Amino acid sequence: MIKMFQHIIKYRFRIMLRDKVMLFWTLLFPLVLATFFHLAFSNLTSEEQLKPTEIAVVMMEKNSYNTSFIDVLELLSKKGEGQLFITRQVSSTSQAKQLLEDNKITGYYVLTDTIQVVVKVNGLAQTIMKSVADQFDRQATMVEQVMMVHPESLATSIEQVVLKSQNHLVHQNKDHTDYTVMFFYTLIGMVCVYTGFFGISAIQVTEANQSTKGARMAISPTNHMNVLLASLLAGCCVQYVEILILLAYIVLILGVSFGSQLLPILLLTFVGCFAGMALGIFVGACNRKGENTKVGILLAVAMTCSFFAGMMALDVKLIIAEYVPILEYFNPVTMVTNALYALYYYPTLDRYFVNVLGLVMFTGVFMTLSYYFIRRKQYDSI
Amino acid sequence: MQNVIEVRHLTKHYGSLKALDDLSFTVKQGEILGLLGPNGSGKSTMISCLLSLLQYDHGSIQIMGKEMSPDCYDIKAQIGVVFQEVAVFEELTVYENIDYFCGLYIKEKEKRKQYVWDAIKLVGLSEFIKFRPKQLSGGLLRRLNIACGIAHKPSLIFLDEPTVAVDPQSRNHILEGIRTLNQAGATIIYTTHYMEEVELICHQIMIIDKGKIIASGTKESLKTLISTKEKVTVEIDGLKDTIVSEIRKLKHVEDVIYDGEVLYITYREGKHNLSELIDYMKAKKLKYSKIFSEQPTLNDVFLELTGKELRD
Repeated sequence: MIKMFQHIIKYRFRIMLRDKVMLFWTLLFPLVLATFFHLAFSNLTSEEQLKPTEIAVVMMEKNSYNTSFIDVLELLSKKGEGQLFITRQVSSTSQAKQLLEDNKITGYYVLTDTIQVVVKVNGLAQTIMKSVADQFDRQATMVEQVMMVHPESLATSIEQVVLKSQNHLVHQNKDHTDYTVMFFYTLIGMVCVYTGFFGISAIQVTEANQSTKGARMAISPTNHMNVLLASLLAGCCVQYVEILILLAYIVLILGVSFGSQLLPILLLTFVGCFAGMALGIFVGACNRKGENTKVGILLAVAMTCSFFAGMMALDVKLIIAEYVPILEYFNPVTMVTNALYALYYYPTLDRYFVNVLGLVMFTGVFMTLSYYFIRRKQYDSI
Repeated sequence: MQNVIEVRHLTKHYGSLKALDDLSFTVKQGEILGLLGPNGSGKSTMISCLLSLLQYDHGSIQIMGKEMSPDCYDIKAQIGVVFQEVAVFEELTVYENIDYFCGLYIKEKEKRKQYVWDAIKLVGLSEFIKFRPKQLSGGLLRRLNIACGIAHKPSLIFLDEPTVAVDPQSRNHILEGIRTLNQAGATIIYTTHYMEEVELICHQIMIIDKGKIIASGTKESLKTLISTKEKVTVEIDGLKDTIVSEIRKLKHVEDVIYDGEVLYITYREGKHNLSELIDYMKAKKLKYSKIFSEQPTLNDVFLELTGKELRD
């Protein structure tokens, strides 16, 4: 039994690794797509990545309000992860204007009784400058109220205001870059579904009503479920290795971050492979079309799932998440995407496990449906 | 001799169509049974039922003394099947294909290696072991298909039209291989459209039409079932209708057809017909370019029993 299992697995590996069409779809195509995403989004990402912006500040009127704002700017100019600005204080607006003309700064603040923001062109950095000023103004009003009611907690309030501003801006920045990573997440999800190609192939060569090879297998003295199991196992292994190659390529070569939780990622892609395999088995077993037709069907299904998971337009995923969130649990690509997203952005694994569980249930449903077709040992017609 | 296959009242419907109609027959050990029948006659359905691939409505099938079922792995281990459609893996070489299918039957590696080489030699593919199927010609591909089906040295072999679209050299190789397998003790069920192959290698012949066995026996016994005993063909120009009518009235003549410049005469009995015809033609001073006599073939048997040509 074990020898037979080994024999079948050995040859299934050879067959799969020599099948150029299959390797194209399951390995080369995702690698090309990942490269395409990288090329398409790298400019966007670097633009959106918040580098410290060089600014100037002119204090026209010295008061506690303006001094506090200078303090906030100094804090936001501290070197480190949260650094937003490189600030230089100048004595006159003409000096600041000259720096702006010379493109040495992106914009400058003029501190009178209010805070004025002067920029040359509009953009993300300029928006942040405006946002800092607006927030400071709001929070300063709050501090004033605290001073009147609870003067003893003034120092704490100011510190909180400053930290809150900084965190908010840094978080905004992180949120903004995330969305390009989502495309890579959907790609991993799509490749998980591609495991189904190996499921179709396994069904074709083990079921007597699907092909002559299947009939040849059925008349051998080997339990056809064992043959199928060995073929599926080999398929899952090959696809899993291909996913690891893709992950390594995305993370190590393209430099896309998937966070540091390697084990949950490995578990997720493993479960994702089984979900894709279950879908493939179902597509392979529920009809008697040719193998190419079935591969076409699965390809269409995988593309549709990827579309709804936001691969082509992220808004599609957001709309589904907002209006029909239940649909996300019928889409293995979305579940893989959501689980990867949850791993990267949420401190706990709750959301991650909800999606993993969703994938397990998806696998269970499709395996049960497929069993109806593959349990037969004799057929009414072949 | 022991019965290897025993079929009783086998009946199978596809919806309202009766594909197998109360078939009963036996196949003895060491026999080569030729299965003849036009397309759609039920041959493949019968083989699929025997192999337990298809469900049937009534009847029983015993193979090697046991009731055949999908879980009879001990019986399946002794059966080899060569399907009409080539069923090999494009991604594997000739050797690997044979080894893969043989491995479903033979677990011991060394023994399997020996069996695979025996099969390769039997079908004459020794020079092509590293070739992929798409690099092989049609004939070589058929030989590979056969090797995959018989490498485990089964004692009962089903061959479903193994020589279709095969060049004469490969056909001879295949037929020789079948004889060798039979001499080694294998019982063979051989389906084909080629009468000459059946005449050449089969001990028993079974003719099926519309799901029924319409005749079975040795080739000699089958030929006794038809009314034609001798056929004479004469190549002759400008024969008048009156002469054709006179020939029709000669002794033992069953039918006369004058088609173009060829005269076909069939006789009910087969003694001295040719010499009597020559005497008649001499007397009438008729000049012919060629004249010859033939015994009825299996094709005539098939034609008379089914009313159609085998390769229709």
